[in-house]
Amino acid sequence: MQLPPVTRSLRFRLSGLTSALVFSVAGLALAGIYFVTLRAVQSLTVTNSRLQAVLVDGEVGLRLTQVEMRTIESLFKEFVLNQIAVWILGILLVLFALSLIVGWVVASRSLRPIDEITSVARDIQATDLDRRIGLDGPDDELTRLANTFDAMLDRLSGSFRSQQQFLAHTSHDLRTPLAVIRSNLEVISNDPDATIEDWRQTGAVVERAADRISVMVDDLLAVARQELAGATLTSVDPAQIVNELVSDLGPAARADGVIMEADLPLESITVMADPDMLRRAVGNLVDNAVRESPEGGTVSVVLRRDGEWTYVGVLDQGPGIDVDLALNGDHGDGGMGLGIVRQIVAMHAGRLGAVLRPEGGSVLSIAIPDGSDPSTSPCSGEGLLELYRSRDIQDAGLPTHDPR
Amino acid sequence: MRLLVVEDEPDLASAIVRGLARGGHAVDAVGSAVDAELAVSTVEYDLVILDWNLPDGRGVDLCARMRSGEVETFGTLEPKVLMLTARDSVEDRVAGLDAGADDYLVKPFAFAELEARVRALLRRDSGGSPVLSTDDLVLDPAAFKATRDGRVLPLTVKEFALLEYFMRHQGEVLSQERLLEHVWDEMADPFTNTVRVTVSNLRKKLGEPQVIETVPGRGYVLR
Repeated sequence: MQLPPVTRSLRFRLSGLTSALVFSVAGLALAGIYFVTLRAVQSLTVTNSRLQAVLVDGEVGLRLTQVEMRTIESLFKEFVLNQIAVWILGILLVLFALSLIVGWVVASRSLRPIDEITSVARDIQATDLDRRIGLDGPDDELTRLANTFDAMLDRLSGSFRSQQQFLAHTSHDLRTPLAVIRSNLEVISNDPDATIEDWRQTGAVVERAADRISVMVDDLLAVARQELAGATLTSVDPAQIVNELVSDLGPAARADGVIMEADLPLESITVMADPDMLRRAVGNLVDNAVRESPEGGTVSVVLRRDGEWTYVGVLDQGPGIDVDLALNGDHGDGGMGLGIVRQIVAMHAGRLGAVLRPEGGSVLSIAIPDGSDPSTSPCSGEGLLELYRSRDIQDAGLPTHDPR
Repeated sequence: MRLLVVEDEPDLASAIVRGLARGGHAVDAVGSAVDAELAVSTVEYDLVILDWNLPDGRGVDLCARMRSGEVETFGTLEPKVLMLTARDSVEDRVAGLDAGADDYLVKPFAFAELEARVRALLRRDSGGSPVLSTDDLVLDPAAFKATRDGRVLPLTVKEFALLEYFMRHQGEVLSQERLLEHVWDEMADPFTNTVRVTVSNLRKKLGEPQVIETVPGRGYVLR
């Protein structure tokens, strides 16, 4: 048998339970009273001496026979018990109605916060995670539930926002290589005098742009996967990552006339990081630096340690970047591909730094803290320049570390 | 018409230069805000195509500085500015136009649309009609077609551009330097007689009676 929907609600069941409890407690009390009365009434016996005591005027000589006395007794008992039974039944009926009301009120009052939570949760869309329940009231289970819910929304909206930002960045950055492909193809197809050599050049241009697009798509996929898996922080030797990057990317850079060097401290450093993510972030910075570099320029990948922060900086001798854009670019960053770097740095509770070198070129730097809650802020601006300029005393005179 | 492309993506800049040059424009390209400032202060451009994000600054700031006079533009006429950018939000378009840009095009764009917008911007000062005409000369830049008395003129790209410039400045005496500035790009050698040769070829193709007159010592004028 299908019950009507209202009977499946928690409110219905809670109020049913409350009224059943109230009703049975009151019913038990009444039953007790009834039985006590019953026993009292049944223990009543009528005797002549008692009658004498009761009769007011002391009419001496009234004597009732045993039969008469038993009759009076039973008439009296029957009358009293009937009356009590009728009253008790009446009271029980009233109590039943009252217990229903009490049950409903109690259930409604205790469930009202749940209704609030439900209505907020129903209103929250994936695109608008800014609403909160903010339940008032004593620190009870439901308030704690609502607060937990709010805290979950905080975390969700934080990660949602950073993901959205990254998506916006990357799709903006995708527009530039797409525009390159599209314009080059349109211009060459509308040129009846285009030679094979022109087409070949266009092919090379399109290939370069397609390479850039595929790097961005790889980044997108990496972030999508990482968002699902979460960064797995392990103890990492950043010097090893820098060495690998320089030996992997160095040859291609040298082909473009750019020299790449690693500058590592003598002491060994470990840092809690996701090795793949860190490699990708530094790799993107190095790619950028090589692209910005003039022929014959040097790209240095520098590792430093200061206080509770570990710094990996990429120094180039290019024309210099727009620092403000690199740090705060809300709508893409002119193809610098910093979206994923920012994302990765955020995963490590780190900071991205950017500063122009007075001698020309720029520094892009990643700072990663020892713990997730560092007590100091990392170097920025002048401090970063100073940090990357400095060398250990023991290091002086040694050739720049270069795995070539 | 003399155009400047300010775009830090060399592959895109070269395609724009090539495509617009085929349409008869003289096009230069620079890749940074500093070079762009230098270019507009030394050459009288008719139109600047400006990228928003440049390696050393924002195109929109450069545009605002040009409009406020902080960056002096060469010549009497301010160049038109077309913002060409990946930023597509309404706020950005509004910011771009309010900074003094005359038009706004979002990347990736169809090249045909870029060409059409360039034509539209360049004709703003000459009545706004897409087709230029004097007494018996009619020139349609979009169709790359020029006629005199209904007879189609077989013009080369450079001759066409020259005639278009003459028609936009009908009645004005135009010096060789000015023609070189607006119809030829920075690659043109100012010491050759390329202007004289092209003008004379154009005259031959236009036929009699002569409409382009020589003003001795000053230049040429289209009557």
